[in-house]
Amino acid sequence: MNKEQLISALVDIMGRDGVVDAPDELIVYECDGLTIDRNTPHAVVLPTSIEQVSAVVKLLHQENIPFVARGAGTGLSGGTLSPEGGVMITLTRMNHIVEIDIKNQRALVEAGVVNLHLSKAVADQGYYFVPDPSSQYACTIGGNIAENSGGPHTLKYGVTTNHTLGVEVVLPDGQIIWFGGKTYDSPGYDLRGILIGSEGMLGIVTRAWVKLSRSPQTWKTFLAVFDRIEDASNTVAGIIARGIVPDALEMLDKVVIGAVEEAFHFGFPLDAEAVLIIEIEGLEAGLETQAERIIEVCQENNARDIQSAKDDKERALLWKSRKRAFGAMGRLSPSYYVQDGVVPRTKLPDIMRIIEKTGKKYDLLIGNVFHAGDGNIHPCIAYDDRDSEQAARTVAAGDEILRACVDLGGSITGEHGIGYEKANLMPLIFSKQDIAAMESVKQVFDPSNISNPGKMFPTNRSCIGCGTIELKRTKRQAAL
Amino acid sequence: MPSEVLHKRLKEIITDYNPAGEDTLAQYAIDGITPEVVVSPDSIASLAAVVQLASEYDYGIIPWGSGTKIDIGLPPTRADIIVQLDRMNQVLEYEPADQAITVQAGIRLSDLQSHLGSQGQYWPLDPPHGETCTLGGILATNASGLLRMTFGTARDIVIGLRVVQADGTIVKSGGKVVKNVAGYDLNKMYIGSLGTLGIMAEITLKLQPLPEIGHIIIGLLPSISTVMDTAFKLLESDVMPTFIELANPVLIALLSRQVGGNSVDAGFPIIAGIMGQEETVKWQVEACERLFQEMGAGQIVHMEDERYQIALKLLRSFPTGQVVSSDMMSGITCRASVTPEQIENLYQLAENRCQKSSMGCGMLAHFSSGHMSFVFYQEVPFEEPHLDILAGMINDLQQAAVESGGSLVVEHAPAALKSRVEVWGPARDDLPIMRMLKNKFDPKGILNNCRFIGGI
Repeated sequence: MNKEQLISALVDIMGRDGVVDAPDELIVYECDGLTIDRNTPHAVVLPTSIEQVSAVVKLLHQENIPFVARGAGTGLSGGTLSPEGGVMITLTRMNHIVEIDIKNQRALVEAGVVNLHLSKAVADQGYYFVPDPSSQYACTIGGNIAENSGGPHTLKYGVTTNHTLGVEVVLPDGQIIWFGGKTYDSPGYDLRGILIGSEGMLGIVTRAWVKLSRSPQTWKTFLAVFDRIEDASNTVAGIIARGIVPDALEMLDKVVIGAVEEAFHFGFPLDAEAVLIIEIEGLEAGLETQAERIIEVCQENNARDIQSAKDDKERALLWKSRKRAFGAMGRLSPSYYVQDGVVPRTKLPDIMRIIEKTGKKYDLLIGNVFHAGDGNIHPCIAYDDRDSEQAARTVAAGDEILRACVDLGGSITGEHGIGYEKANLMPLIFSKQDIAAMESVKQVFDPSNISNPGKMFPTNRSCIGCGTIELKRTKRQAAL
Repeated sequence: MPSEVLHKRLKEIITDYNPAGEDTLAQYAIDGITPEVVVSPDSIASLAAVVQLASEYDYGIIPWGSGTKIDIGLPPTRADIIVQLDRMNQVLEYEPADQAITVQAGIRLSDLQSHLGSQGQYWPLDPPHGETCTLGGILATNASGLLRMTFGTARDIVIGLRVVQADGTIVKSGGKVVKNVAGYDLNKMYIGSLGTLGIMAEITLKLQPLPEIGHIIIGLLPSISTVMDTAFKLLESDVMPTFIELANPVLIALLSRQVGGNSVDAGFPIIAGIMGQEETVKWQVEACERLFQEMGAGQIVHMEDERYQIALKLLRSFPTGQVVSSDMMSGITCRASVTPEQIENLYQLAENRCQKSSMGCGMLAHFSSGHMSFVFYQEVPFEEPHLDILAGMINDLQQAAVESGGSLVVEHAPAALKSRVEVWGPARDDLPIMRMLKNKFDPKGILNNCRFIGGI
């Protein structure tokens, strides 16, 4: 089947309105939030029903054409980078909240529902959906499921997998199957658990039953200001060691504070080396005591100032500043590259020192804004993507930071996924046998390797039964 | 290979290995099938070597922790080698400030908790058999308890595994940090797989600080439907109980006898557990009591300190402990999973059917997750005609659960009953994928084979 035949077959299923194939329109789909790697799909389809997804996948399966599912394209690891000659299945038109069952505290949503829209739909009744990635105003729940997304408030209540009861999946041969459902503990293997975080490589999630949580009675949000990054890092470790689990515990360093202040005018102290945003939620009774304990730890670690958000408006602005910090970094350079690594919380001071050194070594400006409470770092490297030498240094610096995370006993991704970006770094934390076990799972679900191929597994090694998709002219390859 | 050779090979792997005598072997019989060999590896390496040997010569293996849940599942078709993990009970790595611990799978939950308790932490899972069961057994069966309302099941609080695969290779999934999405989340696949895909040997857990205090409030209401209304009201109130349990009157009457103090009159109980910081708990206890009162509770029992501890232990031990009476040790238990709203229907159905057949039925439901445990008992031992009645009843309960979008599995039951029911429930669309996974991970079918769903 040549490209024209493919387009015409897709139009037969989708209607003309549901297929994008004009080169200028396809540019939108050439990358996700990881802009350093790009590739254009042959065509993009925009299904409105599960049946359409299934019909398209059946066609692609029959013709052995690779595909990738995509939501809002906010992913940061190139997880939705199109395979060469592939079709992109974009689920943003499947954006219906199918059922809200407040009584049983769960909801059935289509994959294209925007994360924040679900929380807004149930807010009046006093509920919300816990996972809150920084992109939550745009990203879809299908994307959250593919990446097993986190967010600032998952420190206490867990990530997407902890809030998803069941997923409806179009398998790579077009079959529609539910794994899990509206109730917990489906008998048998936890296929739901395997699907979540599988980065679209085992099938396409079209609908999901998710858990709704009760909104807290009240909250307290602090901004603690430090003159030394080390003190801020030690505060984080100190709070956790004291047996306090705040709802959110975020760090912003000087570089990010500057960028964010310029963008949102919250009133951050521009001369501070680091600030911590600490939020505790719950009942009025006892919250003050908890707050005192946290303030004590901050003071023990030389906090210069501790302010608390005085009302909902100030709290909202503080969180907006935090969640849009990556965007604000855009003021400092034409492009930025966000890394995502994890260290044990006691190793935060070490990794912060290493990041600083790495920035100096590669002569790059690195800002830090991250989920300090669970040791999930996000160094944000400013660079100019028109300068390929600088881009190469950027990738190298990112890799070096991740290697350091691994040496400190951590991981190469806490919430952004492996995707295309980190496939070749998998051997840093997994042995050949470990990866072979994952590949076995891939082969069971997708024996012809057409569902988002070329992701997660290292390409620089022989891999039985899973061919790889070579991408043309990516900056990453230029860097290697 | 001849058994002398097998013994010799095992001795090469584990120097102090001695063939078990017949009496010992008999203690390891499962549903009437007696093993040939019981072997206790003392490290992940020797465990891997044993599995490799078994794989090479096609011996069937059944992993064994403390045996509290070993009869769960279909009767085994083979039990050549019992791999006893009791010697693999060490703490490998523990950094309290990181709130994570790595242990060997044979460690007992109670030992783990006391180790953690000394640092003011715990692993928030409280399944039945808490005194004796091992981590490996909990994970293999995905056993859970009251705390799941707040902390979920093992699938939510295990962050890393090292697993011995069917060919003896050792693989890792997850890691040692609390947040990690590198690679497929195979922890989920192994947890609850009944030892059919690999043997979990080393486990990294996510920990929590111990709560300052805990209270239990029991409200006795006139009917099951008022209990349901109260439970939903509690869910949507500002109170954030650590657990909400519904039980039937039989269970609660005995519980109150054992706990002492004021006797608890007949009525349908709702049980709320509230743990945490002192001020927060006190406010919630009052709010909870007020709510129970408004809903027409005839009696409200408030337990703290020692009585709280005793009550907690009894609730946790259900349905396997001696909660109701010695009759209740029938050993026949089922676990259903439905939406909270469906708990009432399933409970009524069980109660009606038991009354008709003059059987007793104990029920405890973890309300918010819709997880229900049933135990069936009667004054005389269960024999052939009773088993038919029981099987019919279980089938009906299972059908009702499945029709409402849930499930019901038979946990502990004699082989004669297992053969009369669908132990894991009717096949679902996802079974073919499970079968393929089993074939991929255990192509020779040596790991606890034929005992799990669909005979995988």
